Amino acid sequence: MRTAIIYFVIGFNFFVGAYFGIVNTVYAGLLIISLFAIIRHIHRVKYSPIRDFRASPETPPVSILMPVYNEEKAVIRSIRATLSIDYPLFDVILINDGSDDATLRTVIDTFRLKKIDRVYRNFLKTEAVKAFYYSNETPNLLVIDKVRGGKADALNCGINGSPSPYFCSVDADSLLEKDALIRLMTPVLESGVPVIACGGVVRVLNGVQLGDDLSIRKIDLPDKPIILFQIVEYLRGFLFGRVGWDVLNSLLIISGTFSLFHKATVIEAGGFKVGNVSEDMEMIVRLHRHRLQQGKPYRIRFISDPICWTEVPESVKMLARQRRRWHLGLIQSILHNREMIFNPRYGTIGMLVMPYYVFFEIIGPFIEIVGYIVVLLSYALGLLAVKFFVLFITLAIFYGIFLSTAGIFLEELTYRRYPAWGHMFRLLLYGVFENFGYRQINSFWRLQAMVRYLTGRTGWEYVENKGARSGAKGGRP
Amino acid sequence: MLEQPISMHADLTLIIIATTIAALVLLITALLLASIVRRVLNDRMYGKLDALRHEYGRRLSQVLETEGIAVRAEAFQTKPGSLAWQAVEDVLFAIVSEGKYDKKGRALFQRFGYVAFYEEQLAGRNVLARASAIDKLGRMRCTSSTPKLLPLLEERDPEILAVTVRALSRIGTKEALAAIIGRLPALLGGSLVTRKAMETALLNFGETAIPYLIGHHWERADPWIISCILETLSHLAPDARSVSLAIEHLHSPNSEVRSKALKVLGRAKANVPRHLAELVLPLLEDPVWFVRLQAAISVGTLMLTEAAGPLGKLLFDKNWHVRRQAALALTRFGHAAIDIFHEALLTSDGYAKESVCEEIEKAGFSDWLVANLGGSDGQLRTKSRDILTIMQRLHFSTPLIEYLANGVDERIKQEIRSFLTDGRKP
Repeated sequence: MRTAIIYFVIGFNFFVGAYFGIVNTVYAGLLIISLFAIIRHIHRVKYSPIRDFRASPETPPVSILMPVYNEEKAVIRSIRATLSIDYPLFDVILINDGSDDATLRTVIDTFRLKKIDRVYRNFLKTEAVKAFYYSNETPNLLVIDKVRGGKADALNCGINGSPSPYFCSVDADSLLEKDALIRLMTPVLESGVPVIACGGVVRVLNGVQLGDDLSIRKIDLPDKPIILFQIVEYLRGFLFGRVGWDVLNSLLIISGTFSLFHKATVIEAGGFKVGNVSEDMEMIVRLHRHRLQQGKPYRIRFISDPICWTEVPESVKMLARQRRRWHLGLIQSILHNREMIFNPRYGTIGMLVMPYYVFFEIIGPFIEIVGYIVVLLSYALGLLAVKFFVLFITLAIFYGIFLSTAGIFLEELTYRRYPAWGHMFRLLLYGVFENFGYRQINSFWRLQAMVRYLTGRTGWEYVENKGARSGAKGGRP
Repeated sequence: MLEQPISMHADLTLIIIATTIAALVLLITALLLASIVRRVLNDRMYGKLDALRHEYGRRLSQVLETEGIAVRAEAFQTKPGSLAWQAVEDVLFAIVSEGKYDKKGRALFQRFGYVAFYEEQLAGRNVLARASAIDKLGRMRCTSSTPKLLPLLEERDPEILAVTVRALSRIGTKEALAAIIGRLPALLGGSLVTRKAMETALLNFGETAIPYLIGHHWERADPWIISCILETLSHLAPDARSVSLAIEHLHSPNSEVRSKALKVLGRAKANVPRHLAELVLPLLEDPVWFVRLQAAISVGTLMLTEAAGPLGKLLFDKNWHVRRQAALALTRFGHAAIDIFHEALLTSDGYAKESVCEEIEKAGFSDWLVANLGGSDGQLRTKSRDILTIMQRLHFSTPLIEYLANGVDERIKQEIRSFLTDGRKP
């Protein structure tokens, strides 16, 4: 028995070495690609046709879909901010997904909406619609009140009610920058290949001060470490993770907090999947699958300059719920489309990206936690070479710090939304600190999500924030 | 991490890990220093740039007020690429965009050497630098740059082509327009510039584009080029020549061309020929749904009441977009549409009836129907009552409930109460 354990421990050590090497090589590759892509993008933005498109009748209309569930505190701010964006032709469809607080009443009273009768076609099957509210004073705002069915169901309902060829999903506790939508639409208008979905950057709203016109007045960093850790994570995730995958046309995630979709393609693909706790990712995977099956050319893009600000959880309990939900959603999205894995029919997505997500993103937390156990086991068996162990841990920590520093550097190089010196140093510091406890607890929550998936506990965990409450807090970085 | 006998292999592994850690430490330090240095340099640079912009802004405003463009160029001569150069350029762009000294500002770009500098950059090899130079020349709207920019339309790089088309459209010269139109088949055909980008650029030329868009010989052009031309024309001021081009293509074998031709006609209220109805009405029965849709929109905008009958048939179209648009068009016809709606609401097609009801409500036609309930025209009152009764049976009763809650005419309220039976209370 002891021999078997020793062999297992030795074998696992070699496995971990190789695993660690591959993951970090991928990260390094993505970082290098992102660096070049971002530098190129910031040069291109200087001569981009945004101003022309902003005034052009040729810019397609967009429906901004805002599913809400018990968001009475944040909903008015979000609607007002969304209605004030710079875009030639858009309408906001607020889908009240069976809120049991005063969300609907607040919206009706604030915008003086009237109940109207409207033809509603169930292209995508959803829970029943109870009523429509509309006002000639705000003709580009429509409220749909429906029976509770979850975020995916609410989005599908919004798609059914949308009159535009494109829709943009936005969370109710988020704020779009004024030019965010036109920037998000630009690749759609400029690309020779149909762009069927496009995602932008999500930033952390906590700590940001808003002006009377709901624009960002002052960007500050909050005091709570839990939020600072998330800010570092968001910078890293959005500025080098997604940019890198975008260059390879291999994006599997664009944040549901702020993303643009071609409506007809989404309807063709069957709409958002109800029951999946991470409907944004599942939709993207399915769009890839659908288009690749049809053999039609397409692009799914991520653009690093349209910005949406969103609230993130401020307590460990809520953060844990969010992270478990994200990981559960990742597992569901990949495994529901498992026939794509190692299937040459799906090209790079099937042969490279999906296996990467399975082996490194889904089971990564499991390997990490087992790794800690094996270290203890090695120590108990007298197999642990302290020198190696210390060096390996040091290497892992420094690599983590390097990636966080690189994320912050990319932010410095590009958008510099955190202008004070203190901001930069605090973010750098938290980029170091996150390797001591925060990263490990994240892995633990993700492992919990795996266990939940295996035991069939796949319900939606609600995240409650300071300003609001809903099912989907923050875009996945 | 495991205990191993001291060996060369173990030592090597240790050395590799230690070296990697050292390299990471170096990289982290480098990134940290780069962030700090960049921030320091940027702060200093933007501080200076702001001060220079302020200074040059003040001086340029003064001289533009007093001397116009007879300003001494030496006073503003700066080294290309320097901060002062950047500051003067920013100030001039701001002056041009404000509009007050638009022409003078543009002339100063030339006098201060910006135009010549960016024209030189066009010959470079770096795509980003060239694209940026092209864009700036476009924003300077210096007509003398047109001959330098035109050869770039022959390039194959989509990025350069897209920026060039945009820059030329901003400059807005006739040569530029003619060159773009001449290259249209190659640019759109090779997907070198997207259609939306091209249509947006063509619109920048404004109404001056109309004779060129129309005058070109499109007889043998691909249908999608003609539809691009017609789409652009539909957004420009209505013009007799656009109308005749549209009529020429109204019965094109290509459905998109037919639809765009209808769009042009729909917007050209003033220049339409008398026999327009004869030309447009057959397209309400077009086999392609989006042509029927556009035909419904156009006849509604043009108020072609002769179309009321055919529009009534479209209320039962298999495509719901067409049904809704037909209903909306009919609501514009007022009295002329009441019989059609009445008839449509008596049929058994639930989808069509719902579309009709929704558009009646949205367009405010229902308010007119409610007002008729108190009118003296007995026939009109009966028809209005019938329509509203059917609407409320289909659960489109909000206007009635609203009137009961907020209306003033007791006769109308009494009438409504007599047929409001769906259980909904005000």
